[in-house]
Amino acid sequence: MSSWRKTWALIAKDIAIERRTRESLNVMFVFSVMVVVILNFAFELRVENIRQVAPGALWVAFAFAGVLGLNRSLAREREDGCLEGLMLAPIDRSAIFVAKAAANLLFILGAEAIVLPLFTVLFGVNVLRADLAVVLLLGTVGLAAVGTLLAAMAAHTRARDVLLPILLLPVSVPLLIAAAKATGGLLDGVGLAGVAGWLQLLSAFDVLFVAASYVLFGYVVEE
Amino acid sequence: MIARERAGLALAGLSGLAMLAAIYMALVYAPTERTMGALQRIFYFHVPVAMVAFVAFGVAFVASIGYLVSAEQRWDGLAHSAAEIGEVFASLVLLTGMLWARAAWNTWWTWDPRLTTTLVLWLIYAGYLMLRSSVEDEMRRARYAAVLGIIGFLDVPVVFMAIRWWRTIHPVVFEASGVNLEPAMLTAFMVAMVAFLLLLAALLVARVGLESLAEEVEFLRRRVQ
Repeated sequence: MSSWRKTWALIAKDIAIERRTRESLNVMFVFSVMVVVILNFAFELRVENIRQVAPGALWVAFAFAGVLGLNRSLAREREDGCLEGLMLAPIDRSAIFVAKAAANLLFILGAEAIVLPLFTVLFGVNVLRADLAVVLLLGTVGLAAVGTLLAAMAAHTRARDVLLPILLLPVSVPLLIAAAKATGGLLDGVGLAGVAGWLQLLSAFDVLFVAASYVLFGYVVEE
Repeated sequence: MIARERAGLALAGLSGLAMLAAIYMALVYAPTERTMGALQRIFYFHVPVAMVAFVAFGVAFVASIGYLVSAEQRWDGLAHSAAEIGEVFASLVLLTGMLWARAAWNTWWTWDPRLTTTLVLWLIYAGYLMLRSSVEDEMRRARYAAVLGIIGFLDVPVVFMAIRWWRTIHPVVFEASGVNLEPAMLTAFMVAMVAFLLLLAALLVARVGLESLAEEVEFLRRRVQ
């Protein structure tokens, strides 16, 4: 089998598991809605125009939900001894990384797609815009890549799931700033050209951390 | 072992002397700044401590790469020591920065690029130390820590860029075009810089020595059992 077909087989495996259990998507969806609701309560008390905090609220919800989804995805590999099986199979470690990261990207994007209409209703801000898809994609690629790497480590520590947000969120600070800023710009109607700087920063983060995670993943799963 | 101890003692003595000189230079020798007055003297500690924290994290980064390339335990010991010392210095930067900010800008905290970058760095390396303490297997701990040591340091310039675009009020003393500093102030600053670099070296030697002693104890303990 070629490397691409193996990678695809691994992605298909994750999709099949997700289709049957709906574990990650359900958890991520319900959790992001909850974050949005709680932020609404929290802001409502003092913030006069809730629309102003919408971009930040959206990305807080996605980042936190992403952490849950990533934890689930990599914990599943550990629990059933799946990762050990994969290590024994004649598959490149980088192919395992690409497959896991791609599957995580897919699931987080899926959860985001379901949250967006609800967010539009709850916040009264229309986030169902074509240009926002660019920001969502660029932001989620970086989160999924470095998140897959760090979740693979967190899954094999004593602290388990608790450790991932502590490792992932500080590293994702530039990504979250750029994503929230770009989202805010688009909602203000400046267009993609108006937020080009933030999109470049997002792309730079993606390139740097996709490459670094790709190279480093082999050391994480090495036994 | 003996050679290392002697080097450690020499470094500790040197850094102690340099620190005394730095205190004298900062408090007595350096002229009083025009707008901020004596308040500005914290600069001679705040800035070198910040630079030394970055140097320490840089050492941890290089040692992390060294470990992944060679798989030798001593690289891991160096990375751990440097990250731990860097975290202490980063805490000092935040504390001295808050004191200075309170007096100069009338606020304990501002979301300025350098301050915020330091805080994010502090969080990343707090995560690094927590990761280390929650992995029991030595080899695995070393590998995981090295991976995070690399990811965390790669993040520094990106964090800084992101926050710089976001907002800034921090004074820029060192620019590409030159230094905005009186010569006597620069001298005092350089002395403080040397003092803190020597302190970093002394702490690193002591901490790495401690690491290898702990390893030896572990080895002996296993042999007795």
